[in-house]
Amino acid sequence: MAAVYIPDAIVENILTRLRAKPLLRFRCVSKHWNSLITNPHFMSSRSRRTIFVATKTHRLTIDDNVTFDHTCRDSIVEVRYLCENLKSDHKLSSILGTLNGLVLLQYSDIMILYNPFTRASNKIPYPESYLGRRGDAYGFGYGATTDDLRIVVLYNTYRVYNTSIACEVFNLKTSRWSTCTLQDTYIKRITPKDSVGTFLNGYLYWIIFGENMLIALNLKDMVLSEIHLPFQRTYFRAQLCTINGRLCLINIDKYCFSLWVMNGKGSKTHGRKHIHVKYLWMDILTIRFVL
Amino acid sequence: MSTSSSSSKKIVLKSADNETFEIDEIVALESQAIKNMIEDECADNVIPLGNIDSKTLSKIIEYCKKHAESPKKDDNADIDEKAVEDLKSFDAEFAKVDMPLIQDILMAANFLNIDNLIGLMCRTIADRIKGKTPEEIRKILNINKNDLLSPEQEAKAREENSWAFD
Repeated sequence: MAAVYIPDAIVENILTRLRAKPLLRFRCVSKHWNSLITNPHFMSSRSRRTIFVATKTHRLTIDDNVTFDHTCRDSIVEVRYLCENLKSDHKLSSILGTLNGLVLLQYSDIMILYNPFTRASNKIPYPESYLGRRGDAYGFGYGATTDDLRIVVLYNTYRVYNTSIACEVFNLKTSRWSTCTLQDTYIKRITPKDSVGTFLNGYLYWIIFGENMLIALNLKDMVLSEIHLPFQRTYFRAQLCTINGRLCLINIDKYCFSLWVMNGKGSKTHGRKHIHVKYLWMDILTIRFVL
Repeated sequence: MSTSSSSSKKIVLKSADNETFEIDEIVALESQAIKNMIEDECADNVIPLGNIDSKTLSKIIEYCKKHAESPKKDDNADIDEKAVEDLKSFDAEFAKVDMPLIQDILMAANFLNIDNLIGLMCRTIADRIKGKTPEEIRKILNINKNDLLSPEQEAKAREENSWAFD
């Protein structure tokens, strides 16, 4: 039988249904398959259906859920991430984010950008100015385009009469850290509840400790802004996440679980110095516990 | 399922080997391509399908008939579980054919734009190839021999993903 031409869309349709292991093995099938599989666009379309969970023991649990339907079960695989040349006292502290199929792992004195499918890893040292201190807020996101990946570290600097926020940005294209000035910001201090920010559509978000608000960093113009919540968040168990391209806040207290979704921008008001944007939030799910 | 008045209208499909198949219009509408032709009123009584042989076409009609008869998911939220299960087991049985026919059905489904059938065939192929070696895949899918990686490229791919070859 003569070789039939199978359109790319069909080959991709078949390939997206495969788990990482056979998929990577099939790079050797042909030049064409190799280029389809290693195409960053293809890998990032896969990453959307992948969930990464770090465990303490240098292992990363991946929900390699590659099917569009539920015909594929037990999709969880556990892979060991590279830790050779790392001193044994390197402790994984957190996952700073996952984008385009890449995971940014944070260790005590180094960050590692890791592709769990190809097992390629890239060490990223902390910026020099940062040595000997801890950042107050971290984030992994992109600016104008999805290939413009950036790692952001924010920390408060204290001087005698004023405090301000310093910002270091690592650009993955140039592999360099640079100090970035936050534009027109009136926010002098950042005290996030959790240091790892949530990235969505060009913005990094953090819940502010002890306050009923979020802080948002626009990665395109590096502007920091406050978002006041129109509802009361719980102070200990509130968490940000994203669902279907929307920012969500999960609120858990003793009696109630609620899921709030940010539902777009509302009215703008001009204060004396800055513009306040009111965001609309919607309570999409509330479960009250009966005690 | 009760048939509406539109189902009384017939469409004739003609395969590459000149066999004709008379089917209800509602069955033909499972194909987005035929649906567009009918809506644009550029379909004659007989639709010639010059790149689909009769063996493949009869399989495709079998699939479309079954799916046209089954209640659609978006019709109402509470369709009975039994119909869903029934369709699932039909799909499973339907896919139990040899690889060349699977590929012919896939190419024809792609041409006729029948989304569910494309999905079913792709899933079937993915299931069948997942445990195979690259060499076996080339044979199964008739990959062009002129498109192989050079030994250096292959070694590089193997080295980069050695865990996948365990």
